[in-house]
Amino acid sequence: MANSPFYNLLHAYALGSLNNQDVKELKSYLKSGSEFEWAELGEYQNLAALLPSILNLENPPAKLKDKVARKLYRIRDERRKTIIDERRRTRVIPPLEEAPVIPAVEELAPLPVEEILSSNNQEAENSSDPIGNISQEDLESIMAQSEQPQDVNSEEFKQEIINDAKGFSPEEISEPVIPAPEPELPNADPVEEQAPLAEEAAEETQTVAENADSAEEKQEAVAPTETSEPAKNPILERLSGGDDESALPKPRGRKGLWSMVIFLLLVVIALGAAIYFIYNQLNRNKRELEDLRRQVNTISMRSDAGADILSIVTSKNYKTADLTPVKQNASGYGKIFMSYDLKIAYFEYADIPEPAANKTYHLWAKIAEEFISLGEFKPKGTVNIEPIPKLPVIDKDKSVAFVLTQENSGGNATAPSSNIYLTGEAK
Amino acid sequence: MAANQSYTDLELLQRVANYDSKALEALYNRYSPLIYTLVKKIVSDPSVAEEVLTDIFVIIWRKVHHFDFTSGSPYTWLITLARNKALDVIKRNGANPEQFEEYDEQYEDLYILPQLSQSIDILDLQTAIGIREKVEKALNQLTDAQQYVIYLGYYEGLNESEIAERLKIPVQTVKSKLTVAMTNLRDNLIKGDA
Repeated sequence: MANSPFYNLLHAYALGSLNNQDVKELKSYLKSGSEFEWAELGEYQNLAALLPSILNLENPPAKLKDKVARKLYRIRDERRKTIIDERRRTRVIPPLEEAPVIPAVEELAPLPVEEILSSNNQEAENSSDPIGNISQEDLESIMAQSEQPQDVNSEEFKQEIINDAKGFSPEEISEPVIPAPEPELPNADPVEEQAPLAEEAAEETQTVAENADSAEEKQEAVAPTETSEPAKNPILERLSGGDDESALPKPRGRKGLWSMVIFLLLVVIALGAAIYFIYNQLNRNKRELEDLRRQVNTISMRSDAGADILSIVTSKNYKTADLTPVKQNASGYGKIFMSYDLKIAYFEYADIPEPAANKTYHLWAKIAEEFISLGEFKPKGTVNIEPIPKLPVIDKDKSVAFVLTQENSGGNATAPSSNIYLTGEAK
Repeated sequence: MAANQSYTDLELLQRVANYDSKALEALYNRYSPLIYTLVKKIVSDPSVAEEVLTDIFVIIWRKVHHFDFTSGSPYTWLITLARNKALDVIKRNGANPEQFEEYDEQYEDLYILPQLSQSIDILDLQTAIGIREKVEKALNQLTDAQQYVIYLGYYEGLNESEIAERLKIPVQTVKSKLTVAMTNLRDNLIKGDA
């Protein structure tokens, strides 16, 4: 088999001592897919790697394992912070439905440093090397060790974050699951894609928690607004016995609000009932007062005409006539006192409505089918008692009827109109 | 931990690739003596060697997915990675650190992570330790000049031109010596195996 054009570079390349220019040319050739002695290259690479195996092995200090753990811890924290900051700046939110693919919380679980350190210490106890705790100097040297600049948006960077984070997850290894060897890790790509999702899921969890907190805060922010209103209610202030709001039982949340609303409704209803009762009482008192006033007025009027009426009703021959409204449901009444002996008469009427414009009340006596005008009357109050000025000579043995009509003002009526209001007959 | 001790190097790397920190710890326990010895031989300063050892396992943790799990040799990948990193550190700490490229992800992928052959026998630490006497014997069968160019190339990281400059011999002579030295080493090892 003929050697490939770059076969003579194979040995130095395997040892790692090929000139830079030759390395570029060889790599370019290898990338072209041209024929090459790959197996022989592999042999020489294995051979070169065997060279250190003959060295006298020396164990590293036991604390170095702690350094590795702490460094991975620090790198993970820094990069997670960087990614979170970057994402906050860009505010790129991946679809949430992809987040559950990886248990982000488990990946981002706190590093089991104690577990690693404990394991290291236990192992160090079994080792011949002295075990030293991590000194401040070591810690500072780790912290001072600068990280190389990284592209936070690169897939590899995201992969690193997942690696770093998941690597420290406290998962047990008692049930090893070794994936079948494949050219590329079967879960590498999904994890790379899920890396931000895992972070996002963690952020989402935090966001949900923050939202929950925020909702609680909002609720708390709203609740005082709602609940503070009753506290400012003058009624409640009065109920509390002063301006000290702390003395009031502060309702909490919606339940308290509803209780307060119901309480206010009850107060309003009670106040309405009280007002209604008082109003009715006032009306009743007002009516009683009106009645008393009417009675007083009547008594007063009667006291004016009292002597005449008293003489009428005490005379030997007197008659009275009660006049009632012709129309149903009409108010008012009338009463006529007349004495045949004394030839005087009085007309008492009450609750007679005001006559229409240019109208007046006219009292008529119907004697032997003939109406005789007894005069006009103008109500001055609720109860009116007036003498009848035109009392005719009436035979005491004949019946007499009386009607009260509304006639045109001026007293020109000669006969009653059909607009009769009261009517009655002497007894 | 006991379970991880029974895993092969390849299985441990697979578990590390699946983010198993215990596997990384087991890998550290298994490889750190050899890697630390190699790094210390390259950088000389123990404190620097400790830092480099730490960095190497961080790189393993972060970049293990670059390893070819189908045909890769875990021992060769880990030892070559450690050598590359140690040499890079010692060169950057040298006289002209400004002449080096910025150490970033791309640089690490190109010059620190091993570029192994697509066809390579699986070699693990147990096998390597098992044949160390044969390797030593095969190496001792080389001439001093052959051993020296291998030493300069592998442990000091000198390329052919630098070796030529160091030995004040033509580059072509160095190329020839390196080829012969590596071929003889392999042949000696095969003979020793046989």
